Amino acid sequence: MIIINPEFHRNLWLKFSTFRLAAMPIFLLGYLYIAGTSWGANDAVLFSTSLPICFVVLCIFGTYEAAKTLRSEIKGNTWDFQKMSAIGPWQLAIGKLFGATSYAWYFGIPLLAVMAFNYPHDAFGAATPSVGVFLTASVLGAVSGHASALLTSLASLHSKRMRVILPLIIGIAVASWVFKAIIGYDLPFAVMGSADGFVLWHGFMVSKSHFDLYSVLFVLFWVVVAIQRLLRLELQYKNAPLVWAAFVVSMAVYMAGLSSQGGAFIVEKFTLAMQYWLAFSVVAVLLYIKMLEESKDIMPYKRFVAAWRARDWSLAFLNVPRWAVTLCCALPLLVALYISFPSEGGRIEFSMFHLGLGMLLFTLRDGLVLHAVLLGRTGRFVGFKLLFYYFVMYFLAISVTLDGAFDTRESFEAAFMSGGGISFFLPTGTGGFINSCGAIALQCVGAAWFLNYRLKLFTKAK
Amino acid sequence: MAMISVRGLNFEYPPQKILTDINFELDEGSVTALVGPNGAGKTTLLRCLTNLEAPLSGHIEVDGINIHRHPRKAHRKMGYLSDFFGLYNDLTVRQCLTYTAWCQKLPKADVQKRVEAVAEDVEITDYLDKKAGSLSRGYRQRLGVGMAMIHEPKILFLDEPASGLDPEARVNLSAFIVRLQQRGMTIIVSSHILAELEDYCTDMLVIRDGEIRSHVKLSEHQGAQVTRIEMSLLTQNAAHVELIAAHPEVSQCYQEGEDVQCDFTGDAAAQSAFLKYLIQHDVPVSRFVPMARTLKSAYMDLANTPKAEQSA
Repeated sequence: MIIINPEFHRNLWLKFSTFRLAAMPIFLLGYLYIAGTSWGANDAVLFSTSLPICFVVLCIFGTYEAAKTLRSEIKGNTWDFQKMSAIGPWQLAIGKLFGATSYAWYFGIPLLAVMAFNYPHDAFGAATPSVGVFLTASVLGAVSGHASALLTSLASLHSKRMRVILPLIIGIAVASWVFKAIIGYDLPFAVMGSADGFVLWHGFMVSKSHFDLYSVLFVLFWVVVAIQRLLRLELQYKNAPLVWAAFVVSMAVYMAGLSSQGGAFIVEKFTLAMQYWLAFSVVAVLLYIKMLEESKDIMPYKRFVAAWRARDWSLAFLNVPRWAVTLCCALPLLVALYISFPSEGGRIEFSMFHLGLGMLLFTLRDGLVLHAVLLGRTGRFVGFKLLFYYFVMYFLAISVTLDGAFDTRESFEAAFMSGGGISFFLPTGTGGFINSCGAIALQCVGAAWFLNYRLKLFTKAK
Repeated sequence: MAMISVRGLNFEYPPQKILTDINFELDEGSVTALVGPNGAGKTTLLRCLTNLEAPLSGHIEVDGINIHRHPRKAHRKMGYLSDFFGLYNDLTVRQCLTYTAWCQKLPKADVQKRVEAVAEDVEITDYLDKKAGSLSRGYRQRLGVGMAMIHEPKILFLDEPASGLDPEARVNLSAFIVRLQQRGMTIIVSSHILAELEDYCTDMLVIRDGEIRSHVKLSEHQGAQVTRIEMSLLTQNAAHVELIAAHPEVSQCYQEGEDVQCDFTGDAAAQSAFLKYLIQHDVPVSRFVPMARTLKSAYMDLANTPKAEQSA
């Protein structure tokens, strides 16, 4: 008799030996017996002792199980079999997410029940979250941790040094953060923080705990979608870039909604411009991340070129670099910034548009350099070279340039206004188009030449 | 219609080219030996054919389905046994087969029946309740084959299936492949052990340096190509060897003491006429053995032929 999904069912076979099945009730009964006889069995004690146990079981053990599930497939040479089966990416995603962690849930759910029955409803006064919010936070925290660990391990599936430890750390961090964000607890020991207050999002007034809950659901949705999309790639489906574009747009809309949080600091006429700015900022960050990620693999570019040359437009579309898609999302926001946020005159001329354009140009420069360095993952000390690049460009150069810049008003203005100042190394948006973007535009040309040179070397080497 | 059709397949692990412009077609019901030296690209080609790896460019069709456009639909037609078998060691044989049947979306009502049928087919019925991890290599391989063919695929890909098996298990494997061939299944076997492929292969794909050097239809090859004839003469006489070499259907002749080998172009009747010719010319033949063309000899001929001539 099959239960729901084959991958889930297989995990049940693997995780639930007779010994393991018996271990949970024995442990739970033993724990309740000790709690009843030694600690007086009062609600507060039962709750506060169950909480760290539940955290260990659901958030640490469960996350570990999620983090190692793909690793064990690769190690056992069973991944190829799964890739060739008829099981779909959604089934695989759900089966792995809940199947791999099934034993943690088998152990954790009774503990959650113990905590729910012994919940200290008014222990912390009015700020105490309801038992419903507490349980939701616990479940969401655990699922978020498991999903993050699974996503991280999936993203590093073909890395030579695929490890369980990084997904585990990320998963536990996410689980802890989600739990704390929603109910204000610092885990694993219950220290009540502040869960009250309100958030204004796109004009809607939402309590902070509910806003955090919805935010977690929003992010969790995208994490699960990301797992499914990566599994699709593993199963040799081609992913259309539209889902990535939808993610970028949804993140931009989410961030733009927070524009009115500044309250008194935000002048009313700039509210729309701030929305554009926040939306643009998140898209720019995503653009940088995608540039960094895609610089590590030349094959998608080659597939794109091969499909283009073969005039297979649909295949070319499927292989479009995602950073290019992100750039397409950023450009309209940059135009919107230009229209809605005119440059501010004064002693130091400042423009949000120039700042945004500068950010894009810096991203482009770094992207070109990263592509040139990481091209085909050849060469020695690649990681060291990258670290050296970041150290020089974003620490050493800036430190030297800003040395003495804050001593006098003149030196400050010289650093931020002059084309030879800080605008060489950071987007500033000050001093007009030439001063804020001229230097970085030239650097982009240099980086493009470097990439071209490396490409020629790479082609010759073959 | 070709069961497998490959056009312009290229594969790279940057900066290395692993497969270059691979083109071939395999007929339904054929059993193809994919042979070549280590590092030639055999496993990569198999992984591309099974869509476990995405190539840089090229088209692969399996039973008329473009495997890159419809990966899952194509996978329903294929079974694949990797050289590691890929078993779940902590599951029993029955669980492994049942899980595979579920994953291949067999109708629920048929699953147990199919599990038992496959177990019988690969002769592991007695081990159904044993853990896969506790089986010997031979039985693990049988289980792997059973998992690969539980959904009755039209094509079976076997990557080095005989590697590490004892002689008895190898004989069983050969017999099993012959049975599958008789059922009309198309099979591609990658292997180093050419003698074992001999029993069942109809085609041979020779791959070297990531290129298909030759696609040989063995039946045609055996009928039309040169046969090696080994002879022993009672006396060592250069005139006799010259007489043999002068025969119009003898292309090459080698002498080693009283033993003579020659490459002879012609069928059985021509061989008979050749023997008659030798006797009529008083050549003291004490042994005359036409050697069958083996897969090994065919492969070695191709391996020793320069690339330009193979292309021609």
